Amino acid sequence: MGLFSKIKKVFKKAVRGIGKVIKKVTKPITSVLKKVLKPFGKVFSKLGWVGTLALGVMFPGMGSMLGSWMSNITSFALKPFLAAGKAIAPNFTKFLGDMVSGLATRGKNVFSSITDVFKHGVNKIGQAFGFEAPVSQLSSTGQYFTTGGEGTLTDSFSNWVEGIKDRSVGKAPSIEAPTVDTVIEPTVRFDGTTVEAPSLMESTKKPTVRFDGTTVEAPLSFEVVDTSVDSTETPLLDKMDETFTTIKSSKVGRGADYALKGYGAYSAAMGGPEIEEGFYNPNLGLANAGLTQVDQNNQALSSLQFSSPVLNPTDSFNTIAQNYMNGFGYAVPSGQTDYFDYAMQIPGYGYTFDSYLQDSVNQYS
Amino acid sequence: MAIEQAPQINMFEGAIPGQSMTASPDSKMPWDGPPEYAGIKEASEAIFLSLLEEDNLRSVVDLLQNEIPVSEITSVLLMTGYSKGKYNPDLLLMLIEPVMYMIMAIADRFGIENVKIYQGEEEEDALSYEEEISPEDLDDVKMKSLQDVFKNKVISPDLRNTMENSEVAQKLANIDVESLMAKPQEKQEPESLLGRGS
Repeated sequence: MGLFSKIKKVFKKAVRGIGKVIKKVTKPITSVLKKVLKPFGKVFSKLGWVGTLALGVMFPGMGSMLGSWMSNITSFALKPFLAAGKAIAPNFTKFLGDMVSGLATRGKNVFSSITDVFKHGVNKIGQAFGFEAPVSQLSSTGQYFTTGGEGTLTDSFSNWVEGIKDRSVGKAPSIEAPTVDTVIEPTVRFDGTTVEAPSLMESTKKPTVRFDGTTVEAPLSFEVVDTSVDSTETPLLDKMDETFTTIKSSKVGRGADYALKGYGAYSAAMGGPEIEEGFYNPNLGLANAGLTQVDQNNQALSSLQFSSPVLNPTDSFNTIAQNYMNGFGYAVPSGQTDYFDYAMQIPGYGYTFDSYLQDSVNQYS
Repeated sequence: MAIEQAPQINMFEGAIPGQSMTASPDSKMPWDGPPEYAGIKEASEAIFLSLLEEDNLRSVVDLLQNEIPVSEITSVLLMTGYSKGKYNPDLLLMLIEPVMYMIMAIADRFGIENVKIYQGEEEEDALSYEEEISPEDLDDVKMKSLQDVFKNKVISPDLRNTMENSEVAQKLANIDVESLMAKPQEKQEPESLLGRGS
C-alpha cells in the first residue's frame, strides 16, 4: 500500500470523526443561532452564521471574539423551567454531557479554529449546573477523534496501525508483573549502627570474604533469584501464554506461522548453519606470514629453490618446515610459532608442504 | 450488538519495501514535491474561492440537494487537492474542519435543509433530552441563553469591514441563489439527418 492509499484511509476516518463533532456541537444551537445573530447586521445575515464561522478561519479575530462572548455566560435561562417543576435538569445534564463529549477532543490543530469557539460557552453552561469546566475535565477521554488531531500524520499512522493490529490480533491483555514482597532489612554494622539498603538488588548482594577476613561488596549481579515466586506458575507466564495463543489463532498469527514453516523448509533444504562448511581463505597463510615475519631476506626469484639434499638424518620436523619456508623465500616467523603448522599454511603454489615432506622422506626410501 | 468485523488484511499484498525508491525521479507524484500552500489561511481561502466558482457551486449544491453528506464532499474535494500537490498531509487534516463549515455555509446560503454532515448520522442514537423536553421549550431555553450571551455585543468596525470587504465574503453574499437553483436548460437535440429527409 502506497502513501496515498494510507493517507486516504486515515483521512476518511478523520473526516467522519470531525463530522460527528461538528454535528454534536452545532445541532443544538443551529435552530436558534440564526435568529439570535440576525441583529448583528450584514455580516451574519448575509453570510449566515456558518459562513461567518467558516470565514473565521481567514479572519481569526471573529472566532476569538465569539469565543470570548460565549465565555461571558453567567446565568442560564433554564431557571424558570426548574422553578416550574419541570423535569429538565437531568435531561439537560445529558445534553451538556453530549455537548461536552462531542467537544472533548485532543485536536488542538484541527479544532482550535471554529469548534473551539463553543468550548468556552459550554464550560460556562456546565459550571452553571455545578460542573467544573466539563470540557477540560473530559479532554483526555475524547470519544470521537482522539487520533491524528494533536500530532502530525505520523501519529495518525501509528495510531491507525495500532488500531488495526489490536483488531486483527486481538488486544493483548495487560500484563502485570507479579509483585515480590521482599523485605529489605537494614544492615547492622559492628558498632551497632544500621545502614538502610539502597535498593532491592543491593540488598541481595552477598559480600565476598577474603582470605584475610575482610569482606568486599559483590558487584551488582543478575544472578539474584527470588525463591518466593515459582517461575512456572506465575500469572505473568499465564498471561503470556494466553497472548501467544490469541496471536497464533489470529489471521496475522497464522500468516506468520506459515511464513515460519516456509522458512523452516527452506533451511532444511539448504542446510542449517550447523552443517555449513567453514569459510576458507586460501590467502590466509600468506597474510599470517606477512603479519608475523620480521625479516625478509631479499632473494632473487631465480635463486628460490629447495636445498639439496632436502633432508638430513638429524633434521627435526621444525627444520623440514624451516627448509620449506626458506625454499619459498619466506622468512622464519618471529616469536613462538609452530613452524610445522606455519609451513602448512603457506600457499604452496602447486607444491604443498605435504608434498615436500613426502619427497623429503622418500629420498631415503 | 453487532460484532465488529475484523478487517481483511493480506500480508503479502502490497509494495515491496523500498519500491517507491525505484521510481524514476522524473515520474515524481505531485504530492511528493513541495506543496503549493503551506498555511491554513491561504489554503482555505483558495478552496473557498474555488468553491464559489459558478460551476463548482452548482455541483456542490446539487450534491447537497441529493443528500450527499458534507463529509463525503469534503473528502473528495480535499483528496483531489492533495493528489494535485496543493497541500501536505498535515495541512490536509487541518483543512477538514474549515472546509466542512464552508460547505455547510453554502448549504445555509442556499437554504438547503436537512443537510447531512456524515454518512449514517441518522442511525446514531437520538439525543434523549429532546425526547423528554419539548422542542419548543428547549429552543426557548437556548434562545434566551444565547440572547443573553450576545446582548449589547458589537463587532468591531475594523473586523466588520475586513470581513465584509473580503473577496470570499463578497462572493458568498452575491451568489445568485435563484439562478443557480434553477434547473439548467436542457440542450436541444440536433435534428437527425433522417428526420430532415422526411
